[in-house]
Amino acid sequence: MANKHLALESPGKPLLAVSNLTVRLSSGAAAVDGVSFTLERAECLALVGESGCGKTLTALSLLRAIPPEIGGANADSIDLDGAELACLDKKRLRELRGGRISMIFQDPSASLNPLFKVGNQIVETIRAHRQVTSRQARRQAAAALAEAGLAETGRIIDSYPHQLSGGQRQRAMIALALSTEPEILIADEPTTALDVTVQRQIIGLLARLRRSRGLALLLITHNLSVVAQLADRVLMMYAGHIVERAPASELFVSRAHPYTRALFQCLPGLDSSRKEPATIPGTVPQPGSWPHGCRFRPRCEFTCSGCEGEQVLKPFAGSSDHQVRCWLAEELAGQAALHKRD
Amino acid sequence: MSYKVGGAFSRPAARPFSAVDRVSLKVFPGETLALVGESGCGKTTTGRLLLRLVEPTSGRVFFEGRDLGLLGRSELRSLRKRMQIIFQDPYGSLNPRFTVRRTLAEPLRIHKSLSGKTLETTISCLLETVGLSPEHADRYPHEFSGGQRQRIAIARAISPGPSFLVADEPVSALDISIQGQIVKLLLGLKKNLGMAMLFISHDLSMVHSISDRVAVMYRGRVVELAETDELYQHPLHPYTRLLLESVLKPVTGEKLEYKEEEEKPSRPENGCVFSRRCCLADNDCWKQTPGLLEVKAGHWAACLRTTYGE
Repeated sequence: MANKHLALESPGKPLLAVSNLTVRLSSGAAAVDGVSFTLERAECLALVGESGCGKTLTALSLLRAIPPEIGGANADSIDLDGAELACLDKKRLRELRGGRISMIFQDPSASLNPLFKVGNQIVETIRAHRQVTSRQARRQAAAALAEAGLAETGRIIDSYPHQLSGGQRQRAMIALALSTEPEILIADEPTTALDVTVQRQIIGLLARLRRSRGLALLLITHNLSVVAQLADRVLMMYAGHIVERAPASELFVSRAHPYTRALFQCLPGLDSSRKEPATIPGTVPQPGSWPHGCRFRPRCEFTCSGCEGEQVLKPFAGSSDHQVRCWLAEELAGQAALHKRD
Repeated sequence: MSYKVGGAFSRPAARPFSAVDRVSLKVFPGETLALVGESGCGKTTTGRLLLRLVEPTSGRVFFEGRDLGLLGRSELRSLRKRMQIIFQDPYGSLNPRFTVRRTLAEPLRIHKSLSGKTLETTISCLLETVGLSPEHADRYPHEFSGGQRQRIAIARAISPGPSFLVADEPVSALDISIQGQIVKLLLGLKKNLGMAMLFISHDLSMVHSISDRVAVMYRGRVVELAETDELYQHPLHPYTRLLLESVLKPVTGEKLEYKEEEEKPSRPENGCVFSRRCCLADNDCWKQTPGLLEVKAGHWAACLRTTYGE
């Protein structure tokens, strides 16, 4: 199923361009602080960070889906293939959500209503975005479930979510999200709650769907192994800021920002020599109580007086693809290279 | 001193279903035994059976040489201070209406009959032991992060001075950088207090770095048991191998193949629980249920087809 939204008018332009996005909580503190990024067609961009970094709020703000009691989003621009999302009216917004941009969650029950059969939910979604008969919609629902790798689609259509296994529910949620043929799929921790064997299957499915549909994927996760399997580019987030931006292949070889480096060191490996897992001392600061200057400063092993100044994203090692928010990054990389040579 | 469990736990159904099926395990003093497996394999139920938080349908649990099933209520209560549990969900396991002080005071009053000044000093001491500070005693759970709540749960668990701790997915719900902190805390406490620990987890990488021995469970049965390095380097059971192969590595460039949904086959009436998914299964596997055999010294596997060094 080719992605019929592929615009030929501006092939060089990114599919999605977010400029200076800020999300303020009801307390007034900014949980997402001036974030800008682009997403190309058929690309997988990973937003990586731990709790409190602002990655989920960033994604929800694309759909204008932040509950008002939590906070509100503001951006200079959120451009989806020429359409400005930041000022859509209700009707256009409804078309957008689940239409051009779809979302799946860690917990399938966030999108699968436990009171309704799976098939009915997909049919309802399809008919909300397209003019088709109920029979046509049902056929499309079965096709979506099959594309998500589910066998026995007839049985699944007539099942309630609780009658499915965890992996089946995740696949059903993916089918629901893709039934309207979106251009962008936002996946918020899609595999975190799943068993190891099922995780692998779901990631394989997402990779395949990207290829077959030319789907752009915005992957939100703290799981670096999932990032390794799926992402083309990575944005590392910490305390509302992007602290590092790089192609995935580059990031997994050399990391510039101390937070990125520390996080990678926390990964235990199956073939590592038995030692206790590494950790980053301290905790992520809450919005509103961020230290001035570098927000990672209290937990960083390299911190010094220069870190009290405002930090900005700068190119790393002369590369325009790789940016880092740390004035010491180049020096640290140089030191690391020296150690390797010794 | 060793703790043995042999038991089955069934709930009534059209066909009897064993959540834990003839499991026999020993946990030795001071060791960390990991119990791994996927959801529904029975590892959480096993953990609770060991503490007699659920009653076995058959079989016995021996703790420090005593049969838990034979103990009366007050004897069990008194023995409970020697065996404790911490849970996965740091948000669900603390009463949101109790201050930290009240949460920690409860076991100290019950098991150690502490009160007054001694109680207060002990609470402050406990908080410091788990990396928090005495001022935290007057706060409520919602004021803490997930990692901090888990520290409180740990403080509560170690307060009566247990010799055995069941840790049921204690860090799965926490951020990666915090997981290491909590695990480090648990290991340090374990060493200082001489505790044995049953570490229940689905995270094979985490388990590798902290456990002495590992037991792998599938559909209610223990299918493999060995010292950690031995299990990871020479897995014998096909299910263990599948698990280890499935773990994603943080390395780019691997091409993941796409597979359609693996139908979860129904439990076979007889024969090996894994036979329907196993690529090595033959006729014997469908008919006989393999017992857990010591294939090599200290390395047990429940598979008719196991070979070593394949």
